[in-house]
Amino acid sequence: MASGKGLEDAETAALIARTGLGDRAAFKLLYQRTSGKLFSVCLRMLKDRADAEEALQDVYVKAWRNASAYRDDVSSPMTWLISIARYTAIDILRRRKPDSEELGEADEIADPLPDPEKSAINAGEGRRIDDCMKTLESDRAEAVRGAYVEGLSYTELAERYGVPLNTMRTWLRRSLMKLRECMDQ
Amino acid sequence: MTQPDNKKSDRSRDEVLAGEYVLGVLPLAERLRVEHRIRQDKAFARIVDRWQANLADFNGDYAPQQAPAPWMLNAIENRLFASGARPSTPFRALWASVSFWRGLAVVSLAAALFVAGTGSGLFGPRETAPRLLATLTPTQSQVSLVMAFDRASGRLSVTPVAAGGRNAKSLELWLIDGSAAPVPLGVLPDTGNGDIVIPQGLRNSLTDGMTLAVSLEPYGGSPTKLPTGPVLATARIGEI
Repeated sequence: MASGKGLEDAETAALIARTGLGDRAAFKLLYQRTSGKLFSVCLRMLKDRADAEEALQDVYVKAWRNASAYRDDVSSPMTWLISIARYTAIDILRRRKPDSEELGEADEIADPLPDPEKSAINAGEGRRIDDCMKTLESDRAEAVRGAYVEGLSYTELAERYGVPLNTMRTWLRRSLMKLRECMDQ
Repeated sequence: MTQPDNKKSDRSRDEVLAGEYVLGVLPLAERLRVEHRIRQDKAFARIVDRWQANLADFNGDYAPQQAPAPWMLNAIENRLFASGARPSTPFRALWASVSFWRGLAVVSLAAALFVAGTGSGLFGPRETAPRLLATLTPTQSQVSLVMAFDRASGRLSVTPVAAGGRNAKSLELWLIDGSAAPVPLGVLPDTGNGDIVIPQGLRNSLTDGMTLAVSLEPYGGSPTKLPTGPVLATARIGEI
């Protein structure tokens, strides 16, 4: 059913594998195929074209260096590449605006997670995140998504929602617990 | 259900921390601590992988808006291939052949840095280009030496590499000007036959009195723009 996407993924994964062997032509193709998407990740998070261009270079340098460590049974090629892009952008954001206060130890998580269903342990199984997001109150779901997509820090989230930093952290951590529980079902 | 409760709450804590890391909300210092743990703790790394896969549906929010500038690929290729960088696979094979160097405690080692000034106009013709010499004195023995001999030219090059083992590491070279943040100069080649080519924009910065430092980093170099591992050696530059 998703054969178009599956084929595309397989081709991208093959380009990463060849890049891992030092194949520069494959690296070039990988860049041509994926740089539009990765650039949009950098732009969306950094909100500055020059910074995003700088970040994009770092992303592909890291992709070249780490390509041989990529495992297609652990993540899809685009998930892997987008993670590199997101983490690169997040590092830049955190450096740009260092948090004035260290986060204290957040509230202890009250409810230990039950053991996950064995079948849900492998990535890609279990319930979809979109279904599980519906179990969260809407502003909390929005905070989770905003953190992920835009790279908002706890400090920025606390400002946006007008709550103290530690409250924000407790919210988000509880939301993560709920999501984990939901997806493990 | 048969697990003791504290084990379950450890799992909860790890799940939440991994989720916070993948969301990206943590302050920098905490991010770096988590990244360190990902490298050390396989079980924790799997939890991070799972969150990454779970949250990947959000990636649909990144709609391509503008294309990156056309010169970008060139800039990336220059950064990678001008300095002879390679992905990690060839290293493994090489490592096997030089494994006898492993464990060698290096008391002191000298490395000459040749600044490639060809055509840049910064240093004039090659014959008269000043060469910079730094003596690197490691404080720990996490370093081995790889030697490469070129029979034709009679040139023996000595390259320090990080001791390999199961988690291969790289040595990264930094330029430090007083109290300013270290500037990455490149990852020391692990092939035993490469000099570091200093990026064009930094060649003028390598001057008398600046400090060079070498740190131990994850394979391929620091994941951030700052040293993340222990600094193994520092040296001040002097002209010869």
